[in-house]
Amino acid sequence: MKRSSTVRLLLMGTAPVLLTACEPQEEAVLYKDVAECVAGARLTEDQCRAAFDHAKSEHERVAPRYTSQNDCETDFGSGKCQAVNQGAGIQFIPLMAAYALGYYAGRPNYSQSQPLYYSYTSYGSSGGFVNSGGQPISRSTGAATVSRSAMAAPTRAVTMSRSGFGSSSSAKGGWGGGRSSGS
Amino acid sequence: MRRIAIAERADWRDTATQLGFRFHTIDGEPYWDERAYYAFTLRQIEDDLEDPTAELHQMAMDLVGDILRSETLMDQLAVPAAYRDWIAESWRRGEPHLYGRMDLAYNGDGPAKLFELNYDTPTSLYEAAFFQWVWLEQQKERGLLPEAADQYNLIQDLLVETFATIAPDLPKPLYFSAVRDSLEDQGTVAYLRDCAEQAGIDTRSIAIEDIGLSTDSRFTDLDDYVIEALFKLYPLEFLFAERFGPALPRSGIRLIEPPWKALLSNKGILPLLWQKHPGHPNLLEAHFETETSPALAPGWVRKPMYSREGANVTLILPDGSLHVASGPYDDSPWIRQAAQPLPLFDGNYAVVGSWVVADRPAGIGIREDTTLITRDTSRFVPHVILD
Repeated sequence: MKRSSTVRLLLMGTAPVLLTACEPQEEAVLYKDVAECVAGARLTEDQCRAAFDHAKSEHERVAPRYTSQNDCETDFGSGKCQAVNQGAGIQFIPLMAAYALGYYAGRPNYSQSQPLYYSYTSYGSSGGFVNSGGQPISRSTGAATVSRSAMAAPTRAVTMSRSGFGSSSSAKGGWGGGRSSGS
Repeated sequence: MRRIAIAERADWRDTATQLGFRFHTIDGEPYWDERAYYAFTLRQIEDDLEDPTAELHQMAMDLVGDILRSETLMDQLAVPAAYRDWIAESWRRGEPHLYGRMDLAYNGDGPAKLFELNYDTPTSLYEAAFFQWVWLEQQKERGLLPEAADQYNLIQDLLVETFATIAPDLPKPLYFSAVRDSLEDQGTVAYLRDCAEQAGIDTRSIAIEDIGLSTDSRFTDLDDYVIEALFKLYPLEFLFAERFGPALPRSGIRLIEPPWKALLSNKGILPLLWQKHPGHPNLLEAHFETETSPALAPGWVRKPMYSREGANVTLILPDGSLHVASGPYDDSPWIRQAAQPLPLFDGNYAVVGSWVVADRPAGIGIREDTTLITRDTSRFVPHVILD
């Protein structure tokens, strides 16, 4: 590759951004809730529920964290943040807005699903779903193509302040688009 | 090297806003133009652009010592006498430089020809290093460019790395400065400042017009803190000529680009390169204009030694047609350079801006104009490598 593998901006953009050169892509599917998953008819109801439960159980642990409710609501919308206290004082995290699962060897990887959040600041003027690391996944629920790293299980939560998605949380890969195709 | 039409990203203006690119449209005219791109082969990039850039840069750097040892050459380059010792001292101390852009005429075939070195205040940096990179990634994501498409663009990597390398030797913080009302210049310094922050450097920003001078000849910010290190996107020769100029040598300020860069951003470097390397395949024949020089003949260009953005250039093509760009830079000596018409692609004249960061070739950006003389009205068009 004769170009930088990543580029970033800390100060210059409306929010810090880290972009990574195109990575291998994989199929993923996003559902708002169990009912939408069942209606999609790709998974059985049991699989839909198992995937939802797993994402929900991860949610409080991995969700983006803010010290101020206002900062959280700037990114995720008014009334869309909840307070949590996990030993680091009161922090604010967005409500889980959907869940996503990838496919492994052509089969849905429903036991490694992850929670998604609906961000108003990661997609320019309109909103879209991001994962717990702030990476845009898709503008809408349904099938999507995402970078492989975006569907990897999140390893840690990051404490954030204003304008979210700081330098250590990255907006990689499928940047800026719900309609990613190819890689 | 081909020019290929492509659909614009429908959301690129939103993306630009989000990514701090505020000068994509200048005075209502497009500056960033992604309705087409240039495609190069890897061989064209590596053999015809990257390698010659490294060689030309080294040839230019080798001239600095020659010039500093010769009052005659300093006279020829019209370096103001009051600053010569300071310039020489900055070179002797090895004050590091950051970046430069050489403009090359290249049509995909045969040797690229050096038009000039923009080694003091080069712009079009953010669009080459960052926004062009984002364009490639997004067009690949959206399936409009093949997965194998690459780009010659290590500019940001090398900028951040260079800042990290030179930081330990610089006083802190590092101020970034440009003319207050130039959106383009402010955008360029904002980007460079961002790169410096990424390298862990403590930075500040101040408009050139706001810099103060203290009673003891130190430069100060708006809170009267002394500015000890300054990146200035403002020509050294302007600083020399202006009211605070005489304070520079005794102020102790460290500049990026350093004072010795004044020698290389001066178009007098072009005849000096030709004198030292006559017939070099990447050079155009060039001479200093003297009182005994004949009238400008067909096939020659006349350029002021100090000028920016194509201003005050006169070009007579071999067919005798005359091309003139007006401008404010008519008070310095002139050089003459053999005319090398820019290649024409779909009605656009394209010039390759080849970036050098520290001493390494780093990437390219292409600007197009509808006239043979590339002006500040030119448009930036992205490129890919595709074999």
